[in-house]
Amino acid sequence: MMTDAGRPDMRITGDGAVGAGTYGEVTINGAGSVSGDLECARLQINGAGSCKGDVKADSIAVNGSGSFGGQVQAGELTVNGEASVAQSAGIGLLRVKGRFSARGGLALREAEIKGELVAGGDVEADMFVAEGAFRIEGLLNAGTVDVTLFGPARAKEIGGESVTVRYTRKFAALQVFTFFAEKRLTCETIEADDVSLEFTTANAVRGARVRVGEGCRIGLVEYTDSLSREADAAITEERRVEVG
Amino acid sequence: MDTELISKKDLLVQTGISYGQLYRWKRKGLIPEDWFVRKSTFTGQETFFPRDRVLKRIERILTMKDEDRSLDDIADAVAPDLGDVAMTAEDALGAGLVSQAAVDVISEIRSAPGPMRLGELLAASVHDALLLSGDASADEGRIVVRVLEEGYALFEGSEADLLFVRKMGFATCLLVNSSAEVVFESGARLVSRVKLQDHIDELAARLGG
Repeated sequence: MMTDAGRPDMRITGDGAVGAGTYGEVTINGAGSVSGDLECARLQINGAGSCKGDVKADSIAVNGSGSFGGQVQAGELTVNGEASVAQSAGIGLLRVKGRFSARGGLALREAEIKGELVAGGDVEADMFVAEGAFRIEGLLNAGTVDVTLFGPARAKEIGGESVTVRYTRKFAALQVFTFFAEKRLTCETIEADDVSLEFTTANAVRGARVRVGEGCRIGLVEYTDSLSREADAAITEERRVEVG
Repeated sequence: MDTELISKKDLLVQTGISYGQLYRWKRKGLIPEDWFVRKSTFTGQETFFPRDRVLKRIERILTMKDEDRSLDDIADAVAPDLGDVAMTAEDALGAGLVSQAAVDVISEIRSAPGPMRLGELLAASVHDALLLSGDASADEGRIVVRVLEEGYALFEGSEADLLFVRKMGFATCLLVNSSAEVVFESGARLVSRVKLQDHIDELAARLGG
């Protein structure tokens, strides 16, 4: 079958391998691999799939597990299960139910994480919504950061317009976390215009309007407009600073 | 040789922009990654910026914002993708980007005719600046163009400086990473250290309109 200006579709059912190339739709049902760089309109993995090279696609769906040996460039990547990228990735809309990891950085427009996200570098997004846990070795830079903690979350730094961290007493529906994992965000600095934190440990928090809620342990808070704090929030030093 | 730095906090105070704006502009490529310089201070790690350049850039962004231009628009103007720039020597001359002397040197060096690309526009711009300031003679201008033609591409992704050195009437030049400290023996004299990024910024401003 041919779609997309004569680019052939490719389907693996059972077990098999596809060569590198340009395709319309690539479907892997069962176990399959792509032996080199892949460019396609749509890549769907149902089962276990691996791509040895770079992948460029309008949309990628992983139901089961997917592993990418190169860079990934996609308009949309949906993961139900688990996916890992050995390098960096640029993705318009990233939707994860389960686990997603990249050894490099992530440039995203929108991220919706239910489960766990791991990135070896910086993560950039206009909108970053996570219910679960993450480990970001670099800077998480997002217009809106909205985190609901179901496990340990860690980033070197967080910066953006609005940063909200919520604690929940519910348990994760997905059993990706050990039952006893601490639900806490840990990072060096958080800098944003509006900051609202619960169960967060940080060396410094800087912003215009800052709320330090339940369970927080913050070294230094610098704010320009307002600071509100809950009774059991620990702040070592707080300072109101001036704007220009 | 150190560029004067400004801390992130001072930058915000001085320009009146917010953390949100700064991070957004970084994300959109309005402020280059390279300008975020991390340094250890007694309060921990802090971020600094090259003072003059970041202030100039932010002023420009704010002016364009006042003109109601979109962020993407501004990004194209302040940090255009110059990788695919190609213009004829006549156009570059007409736009006042390069001098006839520079065009002559370049056409003498290059193997095939064709439009001028970023490396050549940059080489011409540096050549003109060194000749105009009297730091280099026409002959010496040739070696400047040559080193830029051959070497500039190696520094892709990082900022480089061109060092123009003289010793006992003999001149040479070299390219180094912008952050590199360079020490010369006492007989040699550093005539000029040219920040290539300044020239690229200027080219970008004039090409981006």
